[in-house]
Amino acid sequence: MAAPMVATVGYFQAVCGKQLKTNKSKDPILDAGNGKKISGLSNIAKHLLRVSDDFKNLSLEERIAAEQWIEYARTEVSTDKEAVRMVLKELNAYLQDKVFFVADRLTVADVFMFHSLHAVFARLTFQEKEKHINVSRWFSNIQREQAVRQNLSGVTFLRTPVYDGVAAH
Amino acid sequence: MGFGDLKSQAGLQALNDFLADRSYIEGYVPSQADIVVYGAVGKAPAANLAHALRWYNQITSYQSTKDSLPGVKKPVDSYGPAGKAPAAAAPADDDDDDDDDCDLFGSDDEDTKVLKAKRVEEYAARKAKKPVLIAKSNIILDVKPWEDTTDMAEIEKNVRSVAADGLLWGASKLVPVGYGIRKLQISCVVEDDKISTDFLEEEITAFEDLVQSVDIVAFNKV
Repeated sequence: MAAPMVATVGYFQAVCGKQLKTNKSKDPILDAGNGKKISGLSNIAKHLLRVSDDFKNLSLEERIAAEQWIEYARTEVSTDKEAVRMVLKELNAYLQDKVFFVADRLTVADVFMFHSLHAVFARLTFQEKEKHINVSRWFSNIQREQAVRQNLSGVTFLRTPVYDGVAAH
Repeated sequence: MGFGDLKSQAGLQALNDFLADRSYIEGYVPSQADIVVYGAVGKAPAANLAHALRWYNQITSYQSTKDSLPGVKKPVDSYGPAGKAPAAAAPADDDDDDDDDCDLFGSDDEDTKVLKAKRVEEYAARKAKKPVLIAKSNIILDVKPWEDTTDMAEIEKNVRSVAADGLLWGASKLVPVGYGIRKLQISCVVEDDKISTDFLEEEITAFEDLVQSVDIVAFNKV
């Protein structure tokens, strides 16, 4: 399993307090009780959004938005250069007026997005990080939470802006 | 340290810049620091201060639990960017012109104004005393004749006859080009403001019976 996936599994286990198993094709499986088994990371994420106490008081709209961001992380985020450019631009605009992706606190959507973007951010130059200051701010805030970051390495951000024209955003 | 007066435009701008890459005033979780600054800001910042507004909305969501947030309350001035705070808002009479209140150097008070005027005066006086430096250049020209029979002494005499304010001819020599043809290499010193190279070339090529072309070999600032 790739490192981000391991991290996601680790986080899920911490949230639901259960060990995840894997099936034959190495997909993680959550035993949801009553003989129900949920396979696949994004499916487990959506399940946790509904049942976990941590996310109980999300409104319906917020839960749906969170599910959409999970889908987004799954389908849009890749390490392809052109895709990265588009995704960063889009997320930067979205996070301009937000601290977290959904609602006013950490949700599975943030965690999922964080793990998907980790490989991308690990390769960005400081200039690119500074250009997408809103995503960078969100990222550096999220990565402080050990339960979220799991085994992933920390990404460094500069405290002092060194490139022009960023503060103007 | 501090944002200055958080009710003023300058203070909010400082807060906005500070929060561009931070989610909270201190650290990575909401704390009493946020509550203190939140209280000082009072109302939601304007929409063009996106970072300050985002932070404000985020902290608003903690209102019900604000007393249980970690940290100890400190005076509002102890938070914010290091270094000098923007000048405290000037006397209350100018509360309307808050659009260009962004005075980063805090030169609003009378003392600094007087001091500044004095310094400018001193500087002007010192500058007036100093002799003005005239920019000069040392130019070396190549003057080429039409053929080997051209009288080089005649060329030199003509070239030296070009006279203008700020132009001083220097040493010259004849350099063989080949097939018996020699060119005249002559140096001169010009004042940059008064003499241009175009002027020199035009004046010398004006002796068109003798001179084929003029080139600038070297151009050095003195």
